[in-house]
Amino acid sequence: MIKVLKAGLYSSIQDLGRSPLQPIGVPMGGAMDRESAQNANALLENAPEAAVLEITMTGPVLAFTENAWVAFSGAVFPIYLDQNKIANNTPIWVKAGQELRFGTLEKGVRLYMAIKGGFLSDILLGSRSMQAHLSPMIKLEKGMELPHATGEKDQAVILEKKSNTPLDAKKIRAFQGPEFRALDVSQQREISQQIFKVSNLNNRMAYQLLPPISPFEKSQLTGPVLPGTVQITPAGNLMVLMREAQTTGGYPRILQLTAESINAMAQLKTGDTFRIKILPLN
Amino acid sequence: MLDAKESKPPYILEYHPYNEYSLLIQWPQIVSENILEELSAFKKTLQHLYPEAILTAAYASILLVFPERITSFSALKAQIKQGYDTFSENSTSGIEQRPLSLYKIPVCYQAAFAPDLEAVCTQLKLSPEALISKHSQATYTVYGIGFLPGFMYLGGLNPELEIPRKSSPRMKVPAGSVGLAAKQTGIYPCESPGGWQLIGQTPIPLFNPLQDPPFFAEVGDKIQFTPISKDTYKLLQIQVAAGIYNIEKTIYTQL
Repeated sequence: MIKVLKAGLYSSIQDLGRSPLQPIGVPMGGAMDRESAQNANALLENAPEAAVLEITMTGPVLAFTENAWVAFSGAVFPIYLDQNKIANNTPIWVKAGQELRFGTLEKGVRLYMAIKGGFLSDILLGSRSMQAHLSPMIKLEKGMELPHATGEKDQAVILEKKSNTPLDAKKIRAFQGPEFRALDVSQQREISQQIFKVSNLNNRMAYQLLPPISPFEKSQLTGPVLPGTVQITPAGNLMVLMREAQTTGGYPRILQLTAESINAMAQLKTGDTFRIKILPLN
Repeated sequence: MLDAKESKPPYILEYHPYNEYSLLIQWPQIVSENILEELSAFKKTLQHLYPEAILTAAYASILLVFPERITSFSALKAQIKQGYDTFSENSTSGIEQRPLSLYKIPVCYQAAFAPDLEAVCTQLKLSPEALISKHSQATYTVYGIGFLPGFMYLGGLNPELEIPRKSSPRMKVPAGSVGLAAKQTGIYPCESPGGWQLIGQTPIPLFNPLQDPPFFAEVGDKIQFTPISKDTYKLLQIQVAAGIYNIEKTIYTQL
């Protein structure tokens, strides 16, 4: 198992989440940048649903009590295994007794650490993803012990493979949401022309964008939403729903991010800027 | 939001490609018993047609999420439209029976479990007895499930009980709290921040992540509240802890 010596800002165990439970109000959850999480798994020939560690902004300090293969993908941090700097996007052999620590974030914001065979924390409602209101712990805490499959030294192939998620996306792609056409033409134009910035209100549930566009005060019957749905508040603020968003919403759904752009958004942090490109879907 | 008791099927449905994997079906966007009833019946037809899809219903919408990318939205729309036409014919000719599930939730309305009851009564100019009887005599409909796992948006509140949310939300609303907010009533399935006016509490856990299934109701089901004493509250708590409590369920067919 892995002992958490320091928790870091926000690290959590994540897999592909609980999408079948959306109808009873359970957020989908799962890795924010699904592509990078799956890439980390693929490097170890894990199944796509193997649980990984999602590390956000500042890393934890982890001590290994058993040998294991690990692989990192996503955000760029200097990563040290004891004193040695190790790389993203390739399998790394870790021996019992070694410690893993992280330097200052260089690029992107979420890094995924896969472990051969996956983390083996409890399955709750079909998933190991830590999730508010469901799991007893929602993030790593100092002193926690993370169970995982134990590794054998012979890894068949040492792959090198990068995640396709950009770490500094300047363009976020989206389809028109169900209420897009309720916007004025001038508001539609604002969305395409504005340079948006990620506000400091951003987490696994939602990213609020700046600046607001013109106010939009039409009322709206509550309806289903998904990760990647962009809602507009009466004041004109755009809210991008992320993986842990609630399952229904009452604000107009003006855009829906592409699957790839949800991953790209998950690598943006407070202050990062981008444009929104609206694509057709049919 | 409009109320449209007069709305009648068949409806003109709208189909909106939602993302690469999902299609949104929308009934006229109004709060209507008729729409909700038809939508929850048609949802069963859709689930039968697409067993692999995840169907989320709320008020006047169903979202279909497929595990694979949708290759042709127009083909999918045409197929669903045809399904709806057949469904509508069967419904109007009375072939389709629509059994409804009614759940009875015990609620203790006594002061210790109802921090806002007194203030709500003052504001609504009702005695506590009158408020409790109006709240527990209605049959509510589950219009949507969201906000929290197992949080039901219940419609059908007596208009005399309509009251705005609290001006500043509580940081911690205990699990099982029963609240009022505008035209709706609801139960907090777990501890959470929240702004609803709290008028009672149920001792029974609504959403249990350790159980399969974790939640009992779906959109379209009916809910009633049964007033209970403090002693019954404690007794039910013991039954819940012992694992012998079951939510009271009735199935009936509406005429």
